[in-house]
Parts: sequence; C-alpha cells; structure tokens
Amino acid sequence: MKLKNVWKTIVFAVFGCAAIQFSPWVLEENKVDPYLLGMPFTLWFGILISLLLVLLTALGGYVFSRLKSDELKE
Amino acid sequence: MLTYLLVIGAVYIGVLMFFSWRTKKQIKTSTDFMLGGAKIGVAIGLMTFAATLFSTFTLLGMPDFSRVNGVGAWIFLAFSDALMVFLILWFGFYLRKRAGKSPYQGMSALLQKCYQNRMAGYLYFTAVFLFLIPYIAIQIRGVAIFLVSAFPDFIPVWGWSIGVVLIMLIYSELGGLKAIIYADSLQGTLLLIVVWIVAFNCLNEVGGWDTLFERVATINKDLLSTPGPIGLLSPQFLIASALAILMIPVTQPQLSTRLVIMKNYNALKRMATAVGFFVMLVILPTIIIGMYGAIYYADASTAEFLGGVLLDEQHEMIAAFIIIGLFAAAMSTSDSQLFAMGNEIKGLLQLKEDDNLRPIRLVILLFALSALVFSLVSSDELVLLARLSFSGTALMGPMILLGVFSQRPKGVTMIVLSMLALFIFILSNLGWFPKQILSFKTDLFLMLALGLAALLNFLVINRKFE
Repeated sequence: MKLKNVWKTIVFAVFGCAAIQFSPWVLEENKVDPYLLGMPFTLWFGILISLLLVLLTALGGYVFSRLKSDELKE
Repeated sequence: MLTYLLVIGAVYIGVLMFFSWRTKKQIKTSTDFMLGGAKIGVAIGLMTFAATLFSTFTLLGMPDFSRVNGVGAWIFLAFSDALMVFLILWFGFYLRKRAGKSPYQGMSALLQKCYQNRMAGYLYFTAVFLFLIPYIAIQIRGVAIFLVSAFPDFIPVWGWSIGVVLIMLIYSELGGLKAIIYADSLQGTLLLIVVWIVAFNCLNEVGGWDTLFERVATINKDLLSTPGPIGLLSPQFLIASALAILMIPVTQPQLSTRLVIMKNYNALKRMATAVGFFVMLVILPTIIIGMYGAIYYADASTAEFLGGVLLDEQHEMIAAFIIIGLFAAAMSTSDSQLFAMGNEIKGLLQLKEDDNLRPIRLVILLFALSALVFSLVSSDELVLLARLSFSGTALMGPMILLGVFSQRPKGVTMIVLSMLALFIFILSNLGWFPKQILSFKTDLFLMLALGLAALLNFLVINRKFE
C-alpha cells in the first residue's frame, strides 16, 4: 500500500474513533454495563479509545514523516 | 506542615533561580530570550508542552469536576487531548514549514504574512488577550484560594495572588523562555508524582479499585455514565469541548510556539505521542480522586473537598509537596502564556533581533497585572472558566488553519467571519445573545460554521487558481 494511502487510512481511523466515541451508542444515557476490570463502560471504553488514538498518533507520525521526507530534508 | 513547606518551597525557588541564572548567561539575542534558542529535544519538549497544557485546573479542577459530573470527565478532557495530539502531527508540520527558517515572530505576525492583511494578526491577538487573561487569572486564583484554605487567617487571597505574580515575573523576566522550559520540566514531573500519590492514598482508603466504583454506584449511579448527575456532559457539550481542546495547540500561542521551537520534526512527532501517554497518566488519577470525593465529600463545597483530600488527609510532607506542585503548575502555565503574548506583541511591532526588549518586558508586566486584577474578581469554577477560554480562542482556529495550509491568497472572508463569530460569542457569554442557535449550543454552532467556511474558502481558492 502506498504511504499516502496508509496516511489517509490512519486519518480516517482517527475520524472513526471520534465518531464512535460521540455516537449515541457510546454516549447512551446512564449506560454503565458491561463492566471491565471493575470500571463502568463509559470509563473503560473512553480509556481504550484514547489509547488507540495515541497509538495512531505514533504510527501516523512515522508514516507522515516518511511521506514528507523530501520536504523535511529541505 | 509549615516547616516542610518552607524547606520544600525554598528548594523549589532555589532551583528556579538557578535555572534562571544559568539561562540568563546564555541569552545574547531577543530570540534567545523569547524562543529559548529554539532547539528543544523530545524529553524537554514533552515536559514543557505537558506542563503548559496542564495547570491548576488539572490538579484542582478535574478532581472536583469528576466528583460532580462523574466518569464522563474522561471524555471531556483525556479523549479530547488524545485527538489534539494527533492534530499536532499534521498542524506542527505545516506550521513549521510556514514559519520557515527565520526566527518565529508569533502567530499574529504569521497570520498577517499569510493573509497579507494586518487585521488578521490584530484579530487573533484580541481573541488571545480576551480569553487568555481570564485563563491566567484562574491559575493565580486557584492556587491563592488553595493556599488560603491551607493557611487560614494568615495571608488573604489577594496577598497570595500578588506573591504568585511577583515570583512569576521576576523568574521569567530574568531567564526568558529557556528558564520557563526548564521549570516546566520540574513541574511536569512534580505534578505526575503528586497526583498519583494522592490517588493511591484515595484507593487505599476506599478499599481498592473495584470497591471505588461499587461504592460510587450505591451513592449515585449517574456518576458512572454520561451525561452525569446534573446533565452537563451531554453529547453537544462534549463535542464542543473536544473541538475547543483540539484547537488549543493551533490557537494558543504558548503551545504553537513550542511546536515551532522543537529541534526538528522527528522530535515533534515523538513529543506528540509522549504527550498523549502523559495526558492519560495525569488524568486517570484525577478521576480516581474525583470518585473518592463523590463517596466521602458528596455534599461538601469545592474548597472543603480539595482542602480535605489534598491537605488534611495527606501526610504533612505530601501536603507541602502538593502546595508546591500547585504553585509550580500555576506558574508554568501562566508565565508561558504571558511570555507567548509578549512574543505576539514583538511580532506585531515587528521588532528586530537586536532591538531593545524593554517594550516587551513592559507589555508582559501589563498582561500580568491585568491577570492579577481579573484573578481578584473571577469565580471559583476553574474547569468551566478554562473551557470558556478554550472555546473563545478556538474560534480563531479555522482562520489559522486556512492561513497555514493554503499557499494561495485567501482574501478577507475568514477574517470578517471570525471577527463576527468572536463578537457573537462574547455577546452570548454576556447574556446579550441566545445560548443556542438552531438547537446547537452557540459555541458549537460558531465553531462548525467557521470550520465549514474555512473548508469552502480553501476549495474555492484552489479551484479559482487551478
């Protein structure tokens, strides 16, 4: 897959994460189940999706700097 | 506790003065003073970015915010910050490219260059001045209120506030941005350690992780989901907050400056990821402290809760560290903001490398005094005031993004629309304009409308020139 497409996929995944986090399914009023490691749904899901975003940032940084390597050399 | 506080405080101020003295010797040009030499590596970059981002509102505001509004506070801040660090990758690259190799003169000057219109810079500076001064003020007020509750009948709020501003001014005026950056590293480390010690103590007291949420469920189950017991964390509030927080590195000069002065793009991208992890490590314990507060301080006032959990329940030495940590947090955020505004003025006045820095120092002093006055009259709702500040500056985001991303002439449309949006936002907060537009919260509507306008502007410009 070309670097540009990988970058686009990562950006799309970030938008997807935001759409999921703010979707009515996740922000459903008074939704506490299922619990994970003792945490209510809102908290553990929030932590997991935030962690995913940070990992996408790490991956995105790698891909983006390779994509723009010519401009960065300048 | 006073003995511990005096000893730790003296060590802390001694370290600050040492940094200040060392960096003062290295200052040869105005760039050294305003931009710290502009070669920041990953570790220092992480600490200075995180310390500037996190302030008293994190250590004081977030536990109280989650005590009142529940675990949705995580989405409000941590998730929004995680989105923000991704934007840094992209925005940081183009901002650095736009800023070029010449010394960075601040966002106001950059916007004037991008738009070929002086009004763009002045509008940005007005928004930053209007909404950052209250933010600096709440740092000062937050720590002053806390010190009053730690030492009642000793020094009044205004006395502590003046003390904070004085130390901040002496320190930053002597050592410049480099000294501030070193102090940020110290503060970032202190904040992380202190917040986790308090959180572990809370978990021990309540009986462990699982018990924490079980007990919260028996007291008020609404705290374990959105929108929380008072219904604040609605989808619209969370989305508007995410957009406002997403725009922080774009619109707030103290953070955009840090993106430009990183050594290179590799350091910047690693710093962005590290900030993401740091955010999670700092916010999780504030949620724990908040949940603990919901159990033991359900009906207490903010001051009673914070005084109890951060001072009365802690060992005297830890309490002294917490006070110094809060003081450091307030200092690092406020002096960075004051300094960044000084740099904006430098850009607007088009001062050269070897020009006298006295006007800038005077302007920084004036800003500090404005913040001090505001701190004496502002309210105690730190998180909501901080959010107001984020939203106000976020309105400049679309104009900046268009300016930075588009290479083509952009006309005045975005400048006029951003000015109008700022005016409506101010009127809305003064209660002279509806709080909702077409069933959207006014700030969300304005952000979406400006975002759309910037996108259309970008597409139309490109089409016209192709």
